[in-house]
Amino acid sequence: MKLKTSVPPYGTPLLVAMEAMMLFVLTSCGAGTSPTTQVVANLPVPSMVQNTVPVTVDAYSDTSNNVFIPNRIYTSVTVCTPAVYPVGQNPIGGPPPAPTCQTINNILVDTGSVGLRLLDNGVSPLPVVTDGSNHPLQECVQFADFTYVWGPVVRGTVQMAGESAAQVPLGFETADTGIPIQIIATQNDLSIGSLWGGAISLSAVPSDCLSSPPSGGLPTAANTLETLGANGILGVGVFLQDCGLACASTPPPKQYYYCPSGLCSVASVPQDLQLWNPVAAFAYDNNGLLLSLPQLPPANGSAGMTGSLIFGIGTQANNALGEASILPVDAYGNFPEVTLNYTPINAAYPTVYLNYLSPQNGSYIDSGTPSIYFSDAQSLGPTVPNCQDYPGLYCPMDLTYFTANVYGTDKTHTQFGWNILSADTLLNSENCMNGNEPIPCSVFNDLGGGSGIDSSPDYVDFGVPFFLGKNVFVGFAGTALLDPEQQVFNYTNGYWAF
Amino acid sequence: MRNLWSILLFLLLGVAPGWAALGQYASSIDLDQRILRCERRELARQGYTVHELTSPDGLVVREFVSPAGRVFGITWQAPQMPNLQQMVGDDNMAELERALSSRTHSHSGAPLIVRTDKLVFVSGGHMRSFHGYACVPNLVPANVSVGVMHETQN
Repeated sequence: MKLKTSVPPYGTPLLVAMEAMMLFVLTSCGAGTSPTTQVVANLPVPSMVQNTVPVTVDAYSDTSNNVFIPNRIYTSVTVCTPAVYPVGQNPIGGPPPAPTCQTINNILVDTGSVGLRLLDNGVSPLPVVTDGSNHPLQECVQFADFTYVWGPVVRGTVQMAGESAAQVPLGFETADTGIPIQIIATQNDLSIGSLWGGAISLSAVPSDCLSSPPSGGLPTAANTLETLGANGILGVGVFLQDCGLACASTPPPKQYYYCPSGLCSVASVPQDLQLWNPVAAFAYDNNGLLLSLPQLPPANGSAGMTGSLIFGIGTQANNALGEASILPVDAYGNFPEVTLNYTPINAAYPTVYLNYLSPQNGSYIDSGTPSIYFSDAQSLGPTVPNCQDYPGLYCPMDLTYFTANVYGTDKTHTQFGWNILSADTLLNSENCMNGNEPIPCSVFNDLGGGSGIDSSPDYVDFGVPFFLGKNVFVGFAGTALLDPEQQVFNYTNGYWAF
Repeated sequence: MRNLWSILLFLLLGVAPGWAALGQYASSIDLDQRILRCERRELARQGYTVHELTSPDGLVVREFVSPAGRVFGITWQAPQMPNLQQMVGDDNMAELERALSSRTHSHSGAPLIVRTDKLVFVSGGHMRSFHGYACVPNLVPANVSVGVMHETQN
């Protein structure tokens, strides 16, 4: 299915998002009338807010620690202290201080996660979400790469371009109380200043939320610039919250904790206290986003490039879907099927046709990963991934071309291709220039890595090389679009379009 | 009170030997089932057996058992990264740590892939959808491909 630019038949109501699988409540705020509520699908709502922020694509490089991560998409985020106390979160009485704002740069744009997470280093205090007894709500998230983050949930107003997320949009939240964001604790046990509540003591990460106790060496904390490779993560995947209904139920999964007397126990946390997708909490242009990055010539790296992060889908002239194919995802944010073709350059290998089928393990698009990852020992050699210097990445002898068909849950599919070159060659060469000085490049469109160690299709992770040269839309869970015949299409789990 | 019992159970079982499944005899799956409070089903396959454990919080673990009764492979899918020490075992976690000791530990978001003589380990996915597998190559039956661990089970 292809949809033209959606033209909503409604005025300019304030959009109030709800959890997926529901219709959406729009609160009219026309001048001179009291707010009324109507239930309609969450269709694009025209907006005139400045909705574009620049992004840079660059490497995170730390030569003293031998860290080099190419293909990182960074942006800046402004976070302000909220103007209003939430109910039950006013331990010192009186009105809250006047809002103060701070802008933090080098924030990783990550469609593989949800929520804004900021390193505590350099971030001015923000009010901590507590249980009412001054025990901070803390969150533990381990990533698949065996790094983890741990730290308190705080409240802040998140501003990007002309957009502002001043409260979570569940419909019954107090205005201007900020949205939940996470402060990544630099140390496991420290006291942080809480703007509203005085000093609050944090606890060490509980071991039951990790793949193994951190004392064993794995997983490792991503709680410094060196280990996170960024000052924070802007999680803008398809979900509205980072956990959702599961963490609001009983028993909840091991993600949110209260730690009275230093003894942490898992907490059941309502969705309005979970980390929110900041873009979904914007007052306008909150139904998705568009990441627009330039292309690189084949086999050429770049010392860095700029692109645009544009908020909203079909809400303004600059975020129309146009001819993009819309691919709905499943409840896990994954594509049900990806097929992959490789046409051999030399005859030593047969033509390869791989079929990556969920629900075993779904394939996905993730701007937070630096390569395109897939399992393929047939076209790229029997012992891949085979790079010497960069374990997990592919180092084929020659440039190798792949074509993929990605399927949405409605069987819509679209095709695109990419090249793979030797990661050792690409990353060890000084093919870019800094003035007259040759330096290693930072951005590559032909980096590939393994998602498994054998030829059996497992899943594909379309990382940053996928985004180069494309307009890639992320449609949030629970949004809807109109086709040219004014038919409504609901995307319960969200969608990708490109 | 329920939490207290969980903590006690965790403390009691957490230090017990035979905690792991991968590389152990299939009887250790009983322990996994109790710890994870899982539903369990067995699937007979050509040359091996699959024990599938499903826990209420969305964790699906499949343990692949050889005719000799040893768990040669394990796969997982979960909304959060699961307790892998419990499933993969102390020895295999130590092998994983050894293999990763020479790598830098920075957040790249990328899938993690480790292959040594003793262990194959793959971890991937994203928030709300993590998955991976581990196997002990020496324990994989001669006529079985590691690829069986990717096959969609019915």
